[in-house]
Amino acid sequence: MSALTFTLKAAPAQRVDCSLLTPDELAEKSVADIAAIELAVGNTVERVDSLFDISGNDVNDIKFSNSCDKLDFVGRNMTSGKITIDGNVGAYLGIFLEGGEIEVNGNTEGYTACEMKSGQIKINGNAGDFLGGVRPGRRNGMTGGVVIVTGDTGARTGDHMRRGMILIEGNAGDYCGSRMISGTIAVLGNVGSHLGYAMKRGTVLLTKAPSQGISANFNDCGSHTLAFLPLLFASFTKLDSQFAKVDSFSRVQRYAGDVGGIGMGEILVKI
Amino acid sequence: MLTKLTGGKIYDPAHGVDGEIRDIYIRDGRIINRPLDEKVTTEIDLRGKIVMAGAIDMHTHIGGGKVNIARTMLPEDHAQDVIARTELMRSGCGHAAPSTLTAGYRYAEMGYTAGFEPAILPINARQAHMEMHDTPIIDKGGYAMLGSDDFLLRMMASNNDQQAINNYVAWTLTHSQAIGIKVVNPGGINAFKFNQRKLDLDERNKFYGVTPREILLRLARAVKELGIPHPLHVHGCNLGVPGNLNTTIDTMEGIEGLPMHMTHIQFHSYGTEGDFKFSSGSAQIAETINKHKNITADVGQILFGQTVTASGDNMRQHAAHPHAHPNKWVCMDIECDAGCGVLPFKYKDQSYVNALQWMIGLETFLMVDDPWRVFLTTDHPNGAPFTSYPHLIKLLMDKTFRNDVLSTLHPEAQKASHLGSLDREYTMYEIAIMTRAGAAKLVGLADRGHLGEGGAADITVYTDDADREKMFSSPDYVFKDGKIVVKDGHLIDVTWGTTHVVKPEYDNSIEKELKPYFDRYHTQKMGNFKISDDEIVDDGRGSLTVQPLHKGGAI
Repeated sequence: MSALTFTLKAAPAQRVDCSLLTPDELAEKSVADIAAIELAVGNTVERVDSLFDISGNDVNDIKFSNSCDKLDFVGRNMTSGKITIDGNVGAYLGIFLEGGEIEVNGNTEGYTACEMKSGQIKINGNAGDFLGGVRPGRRNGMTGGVVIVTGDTGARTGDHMRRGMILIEGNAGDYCGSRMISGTIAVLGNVGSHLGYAMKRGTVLLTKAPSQGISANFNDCGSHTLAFLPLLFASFTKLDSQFAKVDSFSRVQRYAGDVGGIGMGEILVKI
Repeated sequence: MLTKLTGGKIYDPAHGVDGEIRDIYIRDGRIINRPLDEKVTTEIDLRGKIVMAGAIDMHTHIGGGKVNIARTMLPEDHAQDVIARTELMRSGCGHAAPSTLTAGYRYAEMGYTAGFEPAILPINARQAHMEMHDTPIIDKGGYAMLGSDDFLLRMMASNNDQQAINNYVAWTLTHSQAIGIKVVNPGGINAFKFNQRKLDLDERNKFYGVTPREILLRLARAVKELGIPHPLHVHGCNLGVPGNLNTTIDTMEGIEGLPMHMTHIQFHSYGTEGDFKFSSGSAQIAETINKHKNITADVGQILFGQTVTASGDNMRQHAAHPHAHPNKWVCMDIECDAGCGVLPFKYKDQSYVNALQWMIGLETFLMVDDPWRVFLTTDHPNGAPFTSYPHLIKLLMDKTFRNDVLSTLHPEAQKASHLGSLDREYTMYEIAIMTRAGAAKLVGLADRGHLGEGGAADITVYTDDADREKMFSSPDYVFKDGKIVVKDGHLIDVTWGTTHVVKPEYDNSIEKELKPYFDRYHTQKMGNFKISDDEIVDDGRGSLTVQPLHKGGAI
């Protein structure tokens, strides 16, 4: 058995809904069946084999090669298996992900890991806006699992995030941790403005102080030695990430906010 | 063009026809007597079928600002219920708060041919009419909301005479293109703005010093004196408050015999007995309705599941906001006129309170003796979406089914209700009264809800089925103004219904006071407030039907 590979023939003019190409959806299907699946492309539908060259047959190990940023909803509702994407990918990657693993060797568009429940997403590149966020009008963003981004993230990372971890090796955009309900966001690089805007609870862990300072809506609670941090770093060691190699520390400056709301969120900055 | 519907079993309570086999003749969208010389162009064989007039929903929130807020606030309601476009129908979405087009299609597919928006805020009436204008097939109309508007309260505070109030009521009704007058939590929406968080029937508004009882009496009298057929449509005080049944009975008894319609009375029939301090007051309420022939009521039945409550009653919606599910809600003030509150709600069958609400609604249906004075509603979407009407009809017509559902509900609630001991089953004739003839009479529609000569050919044809839910959710035919719009439960044609209004006479000198009031306090000028007939009929799709008035005159 070799990985079931979808090689994009040419970049489509319209967006393609790839939510039917997950291990769950393709289970028990023959390659001929898969080729005949119709995907929504803009306001029309097209067969899988007219968009992709298909090779391999292991539906639990799916690859998209020559991918482009028009491929939306990859890994939607997936519960197990692995999807690997070579190239950029569109919006809503891993939306409602319940298990399994997605790896992207490229950049993602907005709403990556939107309302993700469990599993792991690794992006070897940059992520768009609303990483781990929530669809407009909904109450809970990401509720579990781990997202690793080796590059930068867009604005509103972890918007309405409920649980789980987002680990950013590069820089985070503006409004990182906005409306966050709980969960953990850790950033090795810089963060943009309005960090933790309307944050309720949860933790944003920074290895360096934000260049523009901390928002007035966060109170400086002084420096602390937090015993949970070494445990947190220990949990990183099994991950394929720079975070596995970070020297553990427990001494941080703690800021609590957003006091415009219930103010139970925290920003921890390494000192 | 002469269409003959042959051999159907007719239920036409307006003419006392209870299941007789008859033919119906339709010409130019109207029902006519059997013509002597004309040749039948189309004959449709309805032998063995049940024929009724098209159903009329006399209280359904299908247009206006609050429905739009509900739509905006609940993207999940849309995402879970998406309807793709077809050659005939436009796309749409929404379960509890469907889009306008989808609402029209769904009503028609259930055999409904008219729906009335019960809370048209005069200042927002244009928005409501535009939404209803976009609701296909069914006829529509609305009740203009008064009672918490500053202008009326000013008039009452300065003790203006009844004639002045009549003029204002008629002026508002005319220029908001409505067919009736609605009061929501009389004066309470206004009192909320002065930080009052409850307002009993005889409690004074802090600022205007006016009580809800006075507001109801003044408006009910205005409606009667102006000859508006639809009685004052009242959403009473203390909605949802345990113990509110006394207020409700007081409201009904205190109206001095004037015609009054109590809406979604289920929400106003709660006692405070038992361990949960929440009990059914339906027996007393039904008894009061039975005794007072001037009172009509619709039930506002709740059914279990996710929905959204949209109401002008910002006072009670604000109080209910901790129960919002999912946890998001809106409460707002709307100019000097009123306010609104929208909060999503999930009725749970294993909740004591919700289960008892379900029982209270059904008890009311079964204990009000006169089907001409009780109406089938869920207060869409507040108790449940209107699409659950066939289920509700089955609950009313099938005692075994009702008791089967009852036995699955919260056990303590079952003990607190005597619903299981009620043997009444609604007959086909009574259902036809409640949803057709009675509703048309109540709203004041002279040419709808019956199958007599001159009536509009709004006709629904069902196949008799012991499963009433199945029967009423999928009619064989629905005729709207003589055209077949639904066949075998599916839409086959999309037409556009008319807007029903009444035009009472009044003294236009009221504008002398209103113009400076609009200039001083409102965001729009008086001239812009008025909705002209042209706005509704201009594009050729909409039309206005002016319904006849009753005999009015000073009491």
